Amino acid sequence: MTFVWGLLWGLAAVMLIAGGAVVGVWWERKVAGRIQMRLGPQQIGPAGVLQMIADVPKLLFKEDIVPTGADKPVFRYAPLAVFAPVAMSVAVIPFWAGWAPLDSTVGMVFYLAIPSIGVLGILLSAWGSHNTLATIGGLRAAAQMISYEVPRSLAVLSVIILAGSLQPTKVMDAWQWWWVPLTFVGFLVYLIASIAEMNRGPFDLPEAESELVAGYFSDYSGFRWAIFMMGEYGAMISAALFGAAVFLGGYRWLPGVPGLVLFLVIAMLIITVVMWVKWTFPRLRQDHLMTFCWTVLTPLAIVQVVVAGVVALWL
Amino acid sequence: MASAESLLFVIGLALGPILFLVVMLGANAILAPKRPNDIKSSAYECGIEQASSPWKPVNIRFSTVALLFVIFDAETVLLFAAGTRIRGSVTDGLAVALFGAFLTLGLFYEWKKGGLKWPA
Repeated sequence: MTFVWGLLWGLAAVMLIAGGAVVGVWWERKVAGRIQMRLGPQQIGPAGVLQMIADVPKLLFKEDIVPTGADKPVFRYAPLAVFAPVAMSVAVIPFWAGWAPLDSTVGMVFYLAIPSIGVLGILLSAWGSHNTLATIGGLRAAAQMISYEVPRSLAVLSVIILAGSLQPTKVMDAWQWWWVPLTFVGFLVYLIASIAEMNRGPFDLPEAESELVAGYFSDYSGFRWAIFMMGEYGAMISAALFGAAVFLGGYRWLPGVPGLVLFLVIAMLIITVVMWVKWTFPRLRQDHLMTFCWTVLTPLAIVQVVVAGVVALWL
Repeated sequence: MASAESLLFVIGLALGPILFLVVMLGANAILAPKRPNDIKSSAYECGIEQASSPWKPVNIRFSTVALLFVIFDAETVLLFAAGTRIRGSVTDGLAVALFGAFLTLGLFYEWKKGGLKWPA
């Protein structure tokens, strides 16, 4: 029975992410359009909203090309390992007072650990493509994603220290409004590291189109390509929800249903900021990217952890 | 929730997305045309033929990053477990601070040794 519930919640998370990705693509095209002084999609339906409904069936009608040189089983099924962990991570996010789909006592670790499995899927699909560009992209993604994992975890640690619990619902119960200014640096580190984790601009070196075509998914087409796209948007949605909950208080600002609505609005604002960052900053260079992670973000996160630790002594 | 039950829940959680993707890929396989040819099925490398196999040894600097990550991640996980005890307890706070100081010291040692530099 528990297994069936897990299955159902897994499907619910997929619906959230797939739906969010479809809306997200439309929203991103609108945001990018405005930033570049264009209109974005506007032909199909009011403000182009029906564009997103047209996009999904189009992908289903595209030929699924498997290259002759590829390691076929790995090439075919590695994308599943890219997407499934992202959908799983949504389950521990506290949406309502004292409630998360999976109210685990180690939920905070679960949230940081499970999406990192995605890097294995990326590496497998890159290696399985038997394509030089994809392999370079996959290696870059691996180095980048595991490096940015460190400052990201440390930033979340500052909230855990303040709350004194690894259970997301307990962290939310303990949350106080003055944690927002106190952990603001931690939140910025978390946001920057999350953008790097989801391989989005300006940290999208693994899929830099000017040098690597599309990086680790260069050879993918049809719905298999869409899985990578959904994985990227899913990571963005999941990171925004988690950040909005544990760093910015989520539903704690207002009681009941308005709290949930506010939580979702904060998450959407974070997503919009992430898109804004992508369309305004130029891409980093590989050595700058790695040096930035280890010599700027990690020390900053350690300072944030020390600050949180000292304050927590008096809590 | 008992641990065996939550494990079942997590397995279900993993299989849910995979089920969805398999259904969608099945729909893709039924709806999409299948007309492969030699050029379409070759590796996409900007129109030229593949010069050499990409399956070869990779640069050593990737392994340095991997090593650094293993060390830091192990220490971070330990800090996660210990960090929950700091709240309201000075002795536990000092113990965690000592451990955290070693982590920071290690980072600065690595920095000074040049291990954090990505050679261009």
